[in-house]
Amino acid sequence: MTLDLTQFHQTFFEESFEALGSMEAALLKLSAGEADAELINTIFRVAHSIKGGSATFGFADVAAFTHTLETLLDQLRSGQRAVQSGTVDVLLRSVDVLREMLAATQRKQPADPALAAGLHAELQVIVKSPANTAAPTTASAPASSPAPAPVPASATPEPDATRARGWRIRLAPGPQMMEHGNDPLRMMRELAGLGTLVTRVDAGKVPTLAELDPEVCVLSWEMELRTEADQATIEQIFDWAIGECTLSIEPLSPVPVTAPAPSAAAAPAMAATKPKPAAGAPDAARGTSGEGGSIRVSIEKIDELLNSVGELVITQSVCSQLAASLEGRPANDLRNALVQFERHMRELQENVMRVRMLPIASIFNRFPRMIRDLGQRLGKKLELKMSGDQTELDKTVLEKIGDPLVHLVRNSVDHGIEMPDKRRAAGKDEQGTISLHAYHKGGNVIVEVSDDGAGLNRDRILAKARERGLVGPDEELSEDKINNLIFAPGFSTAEVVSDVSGRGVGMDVVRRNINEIGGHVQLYSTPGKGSTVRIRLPLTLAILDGQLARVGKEIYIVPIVSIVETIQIKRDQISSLAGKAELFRLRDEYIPIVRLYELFGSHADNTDLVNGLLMIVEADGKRVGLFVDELMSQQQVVIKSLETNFRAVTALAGATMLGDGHVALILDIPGVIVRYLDQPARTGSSREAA
Amino acid sequence: MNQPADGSQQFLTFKLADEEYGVGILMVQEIRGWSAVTAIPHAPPWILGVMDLRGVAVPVIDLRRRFDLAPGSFGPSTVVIVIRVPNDGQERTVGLVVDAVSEVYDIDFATFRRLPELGSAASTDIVHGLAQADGKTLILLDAARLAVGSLH
Amino acid sequence: MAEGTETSAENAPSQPRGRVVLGGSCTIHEGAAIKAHMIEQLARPGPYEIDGSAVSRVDAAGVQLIVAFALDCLERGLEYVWIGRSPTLEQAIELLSVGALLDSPGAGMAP
Repeated sequence: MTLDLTQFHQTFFEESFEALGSMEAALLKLSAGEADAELINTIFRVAHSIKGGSATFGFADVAAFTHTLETLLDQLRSGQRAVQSGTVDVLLRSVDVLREMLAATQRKQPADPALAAGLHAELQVIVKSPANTAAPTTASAPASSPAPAPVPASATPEPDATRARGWRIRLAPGPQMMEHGNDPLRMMRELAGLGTLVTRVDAGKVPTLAELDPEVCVLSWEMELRTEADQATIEQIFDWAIGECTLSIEPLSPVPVTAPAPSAAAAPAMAATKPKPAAGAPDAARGTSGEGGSIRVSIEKIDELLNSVGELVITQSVCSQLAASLEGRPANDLRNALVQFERHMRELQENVMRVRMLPIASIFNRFPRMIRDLGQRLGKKLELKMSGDQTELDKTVLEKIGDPLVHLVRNSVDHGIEMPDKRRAAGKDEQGTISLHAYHKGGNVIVEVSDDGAGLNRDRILAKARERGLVGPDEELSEDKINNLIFAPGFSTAEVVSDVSGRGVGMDVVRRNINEIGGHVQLYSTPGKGSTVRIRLPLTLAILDGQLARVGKEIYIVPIVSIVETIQIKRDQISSLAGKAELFRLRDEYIPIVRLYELFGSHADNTDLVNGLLMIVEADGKRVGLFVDELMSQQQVVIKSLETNFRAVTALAGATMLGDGHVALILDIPGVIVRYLDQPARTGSSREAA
Repeated sequence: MNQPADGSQQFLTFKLADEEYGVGILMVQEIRGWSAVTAIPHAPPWILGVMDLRGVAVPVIDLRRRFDLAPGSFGPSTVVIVIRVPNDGQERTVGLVVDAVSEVYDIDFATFRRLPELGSAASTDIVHGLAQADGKTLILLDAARLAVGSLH
Repeated sequence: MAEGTETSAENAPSQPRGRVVLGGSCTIHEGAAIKAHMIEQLARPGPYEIDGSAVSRVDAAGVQLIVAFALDCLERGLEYVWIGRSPTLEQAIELLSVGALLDSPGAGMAP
């Protein structure tokens, strides 16, 4: 009797990804020195359940990989093998590989076999290696007993553990290093000559023999050298190879994990068997917020709900409007009842919107791992501070803010935080701090990414902008304007767009993404001290704070978040460029004037610019002035998508029904600007009469 | 554009349909009154033709036409600004028909701004940017591009 | 690749087992040659032998090749044994910390 299992696939994938998330979090905790039987158990259970599920559904490659992983984890949790930092690295990489394998399986594509093969081989080697010695080679035998001394305190425990003087060196040869005569073996030999050297190798990048280029070194090493030698002596060993490898040299500090004394009892620090009161442990593998029960709801159901509520709000609005014009006692009672009704409606609306809101934690959670990996890769010391991870955002906004945030954090790490020696020279703490803060303020969500790095180099930015013709040779710009130049398209002051920050993803894309979800981004920086990027996001995409503006008989709604100011203009502030474009001089900048009635082909009361109003709006770093007849009220508006009734129209974000039953069109400011720029050239003759 | 060390440069300004435009004074050869212009066949509409400048045939550009403004009328009060610009090791001379010549101003380049993005609404390739002088907004033209680009 | 030779080995029992012999110099300069030699030997039937007893000069490139060989065998479930390792080679293996990767576990198929 065959059962169609495919209906369960989706759940398996969702749960597996969640479980991998909690496995990763547990591994990071282990890596930070929090050794705990419960953590290891959690990790084991994740591997076990993924193995079981994948075997059931016939995902053989995932099952095989996870099986080996489970074997290793079983050794760890039973105390057969000690956890060393190399182990955590391998396990973290296993998480990555598993994620990719599951994703490929989910897409019904074959997983890339090379992906898992190298790592799988490594896992097998570790599993089969004699327990307690594993990959790292130590200069002398570890302490006796089944629980080994963790690597950092190995060798001769007593004197070194208390002094802990030495260096942690990471060497990742570049593709040409060996070809140019720099031999890692020679370097190790020289290092070993300086003191006691403990080494771990990363062979994860070794391809098959057939694919291996004998002249390119794909091995990398992490070493701990206990020595009296100073950093300069160490650096000398790598003199010839600078620029052809990634190298980091950091002082060793006393390791907090092990008890300084060589007592064998201290050994269990990393090994298993430290019973802790199990706090909510069973749920750890599930990765939920851990409270009570929860159910999965499809996003379509919530949107339908939200839509219905939106209709209710409009109907209530109509009722109130009608009631306003009635007279008599019953009318009064009706009006009172409607006021209550309106209040309840607002509450209902807010509650339903909140259903779509999720804490930003799910995005923030990827950063500890990312910072750890980046720090290792770049040889920078980093600390991550986060606050406000329970701040809630609309799900759609949340989904779209992830990539920009990742890019901003990478930018801070890559271009902001300096290398440890540079920081020390500048009198700063060697460890750079990246901060992520999220909080609610004034109906918006604010997310800030800060670093205490070098800040923006304004001179270089200005020079580059002048080079690119974005700024006139003698044009003067305020500090703020210079900072925000880095959002201009194609702008990058890094001589080489490093792999870390991602090719082709510039700050202009970050800003555009944020603008698309109705947000704003601003950059603040102090040279030498650091930079902060502040992102302002709407609480929800379904409701908008809008300014009503009338052009002729039409009412448009302009998102308040885009409005800079509204001005009544004087004739001497207007310049007509070659008769085609009109510019308004606002203090020291020139702003194109958009005649909305022309853009939309409607009629306005005023065609003379001095008789109407100019609303200066901003989107994507560009400003234009919208010429309107009159400003009306400000309202909170429920956005109803136009597409159900009309074709999608550039420049319009949707429509809404006002209380009096009229339909008002909501302007999409970036779209308005695009539409303005796309206009065919007009002859100016019709305008000269003004 | 070269700026003298004091950050200013002199521009000759002229009026064209309610707006003030400027060209660098160093490129202005002379200012003439209107004289007979011989039409050139197959020329772009804004080239009125050539005029005789002391034996040299100099093309004359109707700037109103060039900027797509309503055409003006040509008569005894029409003014032609003759500019001479370097181009590829040689020099090009063209005449620009304007409404009226204004003044020579010292432009303080601290007020200079490039044009904001205007899309296809305006042909901005011949405009350097905007600057302020004497409380007025001046549209500074790229005379070299105007002369060279207009002729082909 | 290995499977192919194994089936053909049925009718050629006289085919010798693959044997990788490392010469006195096992460095980047001999890299291409060593790689070719290893691939050639891997085309023969296993279990394989690898002889490092003659190595008197070695660098990271040479050791890397040996590591690639060992990982290839592990991945494909092939057995190999060390005939010998010179002291120079031993020291290099220890310094570069690849010892665990080179100790053949024997028939190492995934469980």
